[in-house]
Amino acid sequence: MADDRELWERICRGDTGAFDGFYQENVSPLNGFLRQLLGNTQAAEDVAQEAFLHLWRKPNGFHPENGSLRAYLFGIARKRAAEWWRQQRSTADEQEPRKTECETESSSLIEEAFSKLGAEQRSLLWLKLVEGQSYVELAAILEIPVGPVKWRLFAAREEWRRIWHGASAGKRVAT
Amino acid sequence: MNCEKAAEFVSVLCDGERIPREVAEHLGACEECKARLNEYLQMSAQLKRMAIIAAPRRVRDVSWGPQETTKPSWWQMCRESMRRPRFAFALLLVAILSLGAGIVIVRANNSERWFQFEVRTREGVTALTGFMSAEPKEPVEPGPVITHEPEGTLAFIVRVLAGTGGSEKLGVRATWIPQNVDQSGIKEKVLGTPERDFWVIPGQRLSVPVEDYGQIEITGQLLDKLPDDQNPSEMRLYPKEGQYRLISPQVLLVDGHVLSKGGGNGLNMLTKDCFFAYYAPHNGWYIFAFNAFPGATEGKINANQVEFTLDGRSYTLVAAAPIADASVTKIWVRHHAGNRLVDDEPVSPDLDSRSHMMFGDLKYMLEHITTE
Repeated sequence: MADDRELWERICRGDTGAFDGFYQENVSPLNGFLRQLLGNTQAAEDVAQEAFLHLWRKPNGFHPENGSLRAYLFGIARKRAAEWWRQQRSTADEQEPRKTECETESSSLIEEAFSKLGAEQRSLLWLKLVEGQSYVELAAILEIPVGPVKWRLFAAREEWRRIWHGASAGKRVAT
Repeated sequence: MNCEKAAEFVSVLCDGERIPREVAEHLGACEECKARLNEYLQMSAQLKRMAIIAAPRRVRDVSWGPQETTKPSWWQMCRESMRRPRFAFALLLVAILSLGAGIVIVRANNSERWFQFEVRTREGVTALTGFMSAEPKEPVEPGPVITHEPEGTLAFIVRVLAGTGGSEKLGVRATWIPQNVDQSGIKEKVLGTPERDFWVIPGQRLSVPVEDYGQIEITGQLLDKLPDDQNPSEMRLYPKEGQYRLISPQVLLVDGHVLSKGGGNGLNMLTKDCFFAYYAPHNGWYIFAFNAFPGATEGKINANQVEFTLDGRSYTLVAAAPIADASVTKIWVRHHAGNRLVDDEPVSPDLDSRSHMMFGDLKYMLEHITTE
């Protein structure tokens, strides 16, 4: 956390080198997170870019004592992704573009089941299982209390498992 | 232990956290739970594989451009045109309640939840206690709290910005002015400090770093309703020992005639080191304190009334409820001509024509009182 504070202070001073380093380190994981959230590679890259720009332009929104800079970045990205979805819904009723890409790229029922989870549950599971965020960081990113994080993870896993088993049963019946 | 109870811990175990011994024993013996664990691990591994496959192909080259400088918020701008006690002080209330007892009653009737909070200095001294709506539709705008310490002055503003899911989002401005630095314009200094947002979980301690000072600590809890001694609709008859208050409505009489009435929203939980002042339009300020102070005349507290004599005339300030506990009978009063009581008080012609009140730390007020 001390490193984070130092990095943040450098960013606050307008140190582009420091921010570039942070960008290079985090842009791929953030894009990955956003891709599964948005189901659209281009949109994911755009939203990631917006999140980085937001952090660069307004670094004072981050408070080192509240979590890591990385968690803060993911929190910004998550909100931007939610905005992107709202805009999509206002322009195309009921479309679900995330399914298109995920389904074509999906090679397993588990993946397919994951893509059918709600955005909040997918975010939570991705951040925990892929990004390895702690409960505290998850709470900060998702803007929820720490206490319910464990329960929400459990609920997300159960839902994922339920959909997976449902899909498996469907396949068996179909074949 | 049964599978239903153990299931959540299976998830916790997958997160790399410790689980209770009895759950571990159950997992070791239960096939259903073992199956759940295996499936969770399988799901986790699959998601990680997915992440690797989905990793972006390239990283864009970007230019970051200039950073934005911090601008005053709308709230800060608005404050400049408002007249409020600029120096609510240590151990004092409830800047919020003082803003509108009427509002409090309405909200209490609507079963609104409250965030009862306490702010402590680095020495662990209580600097502010108060209540704010836990889920405000619009964040309230409390005045700065200014506390003097031997090495300097700490000024801060704490308010609830939003509440959701049992957490409170607080907005905090805080600044430290060391003793060897010009102590004027403290209000401007704290208002010029960027407001920082913090999520706090009621019951937990929030440490807020203040540059060159250390940390202030904020703790709080959620209440389904205001405590009886804070809720004007359920208030106890006499304040607790050591606490003082001035509940609306107030009337100031001189020689039996009404000089001024109304005047604010009531002050609660004042302490012995505080003053409160009542402004009568075209007549100036009447400053009241529970300790003697320069130029003040001794008056008498009689339940909900303060009786005093100035320039041979007999005054009575009447409040809606007893001002102090029954053992307190002395109070000191001084008149201060003019519209402005303290030097950092903003001009507001609108308020100059209406009765209103101010409160805060007596010592601080006397240091900043305007010249009559």
